[in-house]
Amino acid sequence: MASVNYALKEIVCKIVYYGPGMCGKTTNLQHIHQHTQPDKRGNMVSLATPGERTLFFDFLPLEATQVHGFRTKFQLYTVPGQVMYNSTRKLVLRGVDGVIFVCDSQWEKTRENLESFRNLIENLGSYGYSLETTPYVVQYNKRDLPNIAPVEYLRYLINPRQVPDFEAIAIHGEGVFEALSEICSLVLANITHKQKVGIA
Amino acid sequence: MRKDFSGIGAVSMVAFFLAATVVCLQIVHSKALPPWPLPAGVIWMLEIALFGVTVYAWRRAIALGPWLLAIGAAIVVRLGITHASAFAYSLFDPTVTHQLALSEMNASLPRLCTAFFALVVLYPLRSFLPEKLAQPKTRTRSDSPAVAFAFQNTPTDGANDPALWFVRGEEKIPVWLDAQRGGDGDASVATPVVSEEIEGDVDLPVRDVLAQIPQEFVSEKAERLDGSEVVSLPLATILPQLREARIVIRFDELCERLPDGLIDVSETRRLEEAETPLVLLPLELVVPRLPEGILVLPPPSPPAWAKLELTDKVVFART
Repeated sequence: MASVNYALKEIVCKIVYYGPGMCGKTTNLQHIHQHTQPDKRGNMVSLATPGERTLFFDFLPLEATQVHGFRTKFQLYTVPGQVMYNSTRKLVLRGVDGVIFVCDSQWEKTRENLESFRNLIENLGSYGYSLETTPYVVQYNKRDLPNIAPVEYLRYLINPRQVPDFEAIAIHGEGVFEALSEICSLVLANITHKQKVGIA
Repeated sequence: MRKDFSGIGAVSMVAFFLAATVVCLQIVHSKALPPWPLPAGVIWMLEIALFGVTVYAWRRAIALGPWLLAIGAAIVVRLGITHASAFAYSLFDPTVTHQLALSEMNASLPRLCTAFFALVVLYPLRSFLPEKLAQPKTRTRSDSPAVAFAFQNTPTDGANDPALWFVRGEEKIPVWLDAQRGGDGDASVATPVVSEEIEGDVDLPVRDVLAQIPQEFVSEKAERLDGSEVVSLPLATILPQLREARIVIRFDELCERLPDGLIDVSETRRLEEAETPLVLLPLELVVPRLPEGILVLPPPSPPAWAKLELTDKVVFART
């Protein structure tokens, strides 16, 4: 859950990158880490296997521009995408403020994308959250590969309600900051709205 | 099966056991309860009924074997408390022998109190009670060619998918084909626009479709195909499955639609009549060949947070 510190004039929000295994979640974070000024980010913490598969999570703290006089800080997390790490994914989702759902655009990963998305809904539900109240965006990654599904079909499958979505090639950085900027903006707007109506 | 048992659970079991021993000892020693004589058989029946009902209440979906074992364990614990209380009784009152103390402990009310305390002692272990495994009713695996058929085309994560096992006899195609997950107000789910009467077919190259079938079922005539032949599959079968990212078609339905002579009839006869394998069609084969405009999204219905005005765009200090 976002924390708003009026004394320090600081807002800290948690963003989680979710998706099936090997879809590019960690690649997103690595690109952000490599292309953000060092004084505006912290160290990236990665707990991964020797084969570079995320074992627990990746973590990267970021600071963005001030909004309404408040410093905005974002804690970016990724989850392990493999099916057997569901407990870890659930733990990482605790207190989430926004989600970037990363799809692997390859045809052979389509079913995994869908199952991962349903898993996200289920895990959010275990905390009483839902995608109805938790901002999320969809990123269709690996758009540079040859055997990929058209965005229209992926959108039909994963994003029929047409929340903001982005095509991406995370390994080259395309679509990475666009998706991040959008979700952060949505999260802040959501927090501001909740503050106004007295929910938060 | 979740095991919530910890060191604290073990300590609490021991503590409850000791407390039960003391309390039962006090009950018998004080002779406060009326005799209320019952035959031994009735006491045993009441005790077993109490244990049986309690174990069932702890785990409704328990199988018969574990249920009986749990009742046996409860009886053992009850015996332990009885003997421990009798021992303590004979220890504190030298005029009372162990046998005498035991017989007093086995009177009706002390016995039932002991049974109750046995359940209290065993309560922390209830999470170890196994649940009965759900068995599919009329589905089975065998080593016939159709099994290999059904599994050959599934992705690894579909190997245990009961939907791709044999569907025997008149059993309907599994429900997952048209099930949509997601509850009310789920921001992920929005029913795509599909006309009520889905008409039309999608044309797929015969060669690519035959590649999804084990070659022992494909006749030699298939080798003489020039690549231009197509097989028309009904959109009514295909479209509802697109939302599940998995398209299957019944083998017999596919055979009916393929040009004559491409399926080896002698091989298919080996399949038992009741077996109806499913053929998995790759999405990349089907989706690009769907008629234009068939994947129609409903009007955008984003959640409330997506409709908020973004007055301030978040910008990161990029290098």
